[in-house]
Amino acid sequence: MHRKIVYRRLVGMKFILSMVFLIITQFYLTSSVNAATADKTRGISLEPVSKKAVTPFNNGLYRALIIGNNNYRDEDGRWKPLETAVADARAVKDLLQNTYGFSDVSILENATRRDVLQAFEKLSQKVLPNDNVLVYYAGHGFMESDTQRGFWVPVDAKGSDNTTFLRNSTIRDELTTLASRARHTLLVSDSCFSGSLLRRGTRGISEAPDSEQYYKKVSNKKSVQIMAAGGLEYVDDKYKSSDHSPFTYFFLNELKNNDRAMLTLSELSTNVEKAVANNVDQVPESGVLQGAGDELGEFIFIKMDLVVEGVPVDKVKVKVNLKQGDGKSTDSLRIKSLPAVSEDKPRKEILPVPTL
Amino acid sequence: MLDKKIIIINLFPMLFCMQNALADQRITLGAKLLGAGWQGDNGAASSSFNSDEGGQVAFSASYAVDKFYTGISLQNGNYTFSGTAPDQFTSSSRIASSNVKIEHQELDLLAGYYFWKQVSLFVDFKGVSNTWSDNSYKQNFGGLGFGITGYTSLNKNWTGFGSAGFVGGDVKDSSKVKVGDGRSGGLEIAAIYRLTEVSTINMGLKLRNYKFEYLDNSTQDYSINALFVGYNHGFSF
Repeated sequence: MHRKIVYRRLVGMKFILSMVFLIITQFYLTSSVNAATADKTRGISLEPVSKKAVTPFNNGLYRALIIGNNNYRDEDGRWKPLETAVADARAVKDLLQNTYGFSDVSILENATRRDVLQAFEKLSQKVLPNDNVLVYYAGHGFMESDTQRGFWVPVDAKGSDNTTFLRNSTIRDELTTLASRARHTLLVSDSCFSGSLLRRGTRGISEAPDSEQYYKKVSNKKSVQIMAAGGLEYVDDKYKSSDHSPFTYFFLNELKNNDRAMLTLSELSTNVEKAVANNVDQVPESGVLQGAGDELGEFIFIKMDLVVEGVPVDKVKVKVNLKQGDGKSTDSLRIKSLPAVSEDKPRKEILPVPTL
Repeated sequence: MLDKKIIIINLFPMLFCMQNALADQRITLGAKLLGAGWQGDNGAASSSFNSDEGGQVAFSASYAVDKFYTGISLQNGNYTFSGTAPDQFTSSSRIASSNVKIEHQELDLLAGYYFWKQVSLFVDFKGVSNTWSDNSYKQNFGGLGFGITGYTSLNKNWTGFGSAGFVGGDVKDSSKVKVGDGRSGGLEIAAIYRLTEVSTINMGLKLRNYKFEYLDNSTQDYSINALFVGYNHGFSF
């Protein structure tokens, strides 16, 4: 009898052990496949994302063209070299790439007129319908007082010969071309008189800006937005002891200190405008590019390094796998999967095991 | 036979996991305390029984990948009967029982899939064994069951959770000889409170009913109803 009981207990133990073995095997196999697959798709693999860094609602890439002009070589001496524009551009590039998941970023340092136009052309050829495109410019700007026409001033500009400048109308044309292809287009211009680029648009926020519904709505609508360092005015080149202009200093500051997974351009510009105006004699402006198809959407910045409350940083992982493009986007990297807020997926609740 | 069922239950999530290795994955470990009562009647014998005291402790582990999950739950507890207790059935006889302690064990091995956003269907291989302390008689019941489970977020911290289902299978005695057929239904309702992003406590009510029809045409019904409190911790990777 005793032997029988012992035997049955052994059978019971065998049963439990076999199940535990199968679960462990299952876990091991999954991990192995996971690792193997990651290796195959790896162009670059990032894994610093928290569960709260919510995915964009479209599946587009984040691309940026960043221009910083310091070394003006005007023989007439009208366009003096700047101190901070290149540093501004580099800092913006680093932040967008490292913190906001921009996967296709081009930077032009000390760009000529031709460089800028070629970069626009190259970018517009790569843009796909759901992409989010940001253009940043730091450098001299100019406005004709009689015609009120504004210009970007490239490093090869010659004196007051405005044919060597980049007209606002040209920049608008380039943006319009980008906007015709991308879902969201944003120009951030840190130059004198950059406000001449924009026409103000109203952006009524009818719902709580932090609601998922709001972000989904503005993400699905096309946007063509501009954020300018100032209106029709001169702007400072250097803010206190920083290596940045006041506008870019606070632009970077707001993006760095942002603790939200998603931040719209309207939310960002409101904060930047206040911060700049409170500290220097300069008032940034923002609005939409008229006639470029803006549908009151919003450019949304997705922060990729948020922490999860109660979870050690090294335990917070949501993969952002970057792999080589599929041919449509030739030299870019595609974000394969961001943390999902798919309505089809169950919420990631910690649930008990259901039993009968 | 048992091993084959285990393999079948594990096969689908294993295959799914291999195909979806890049999807979100999570292991959740849980513990649960149940304060329960066991009551019922011995059918033709017309003797009802009601445990004086009882309780169980349960441990669970689950693994979820995307909409799929699989898990195991083990429960163990003792129920003391002063007076009439559930009768013991063998292939040849029925033995009245009283003033006894019965050890009750449950094992659930399940796999499920969220066919809807917050509602899933699952299959559960359930094994139940009751061991009488006086003569070591053991009643075994087990089989494949089907269930539905779902949850709904009540607010930022609270989530409602529920599951229901049924199991059908053989009832066997200590000698593993079939002595009857059994059916069991279960219903669980719980409120889950989020302590942190990765841990929750839950409390609720679990109702289980068993109906056994023995080969001699006698029946035995009982239910084990419990209030419980539990803790779950998730590990995402």
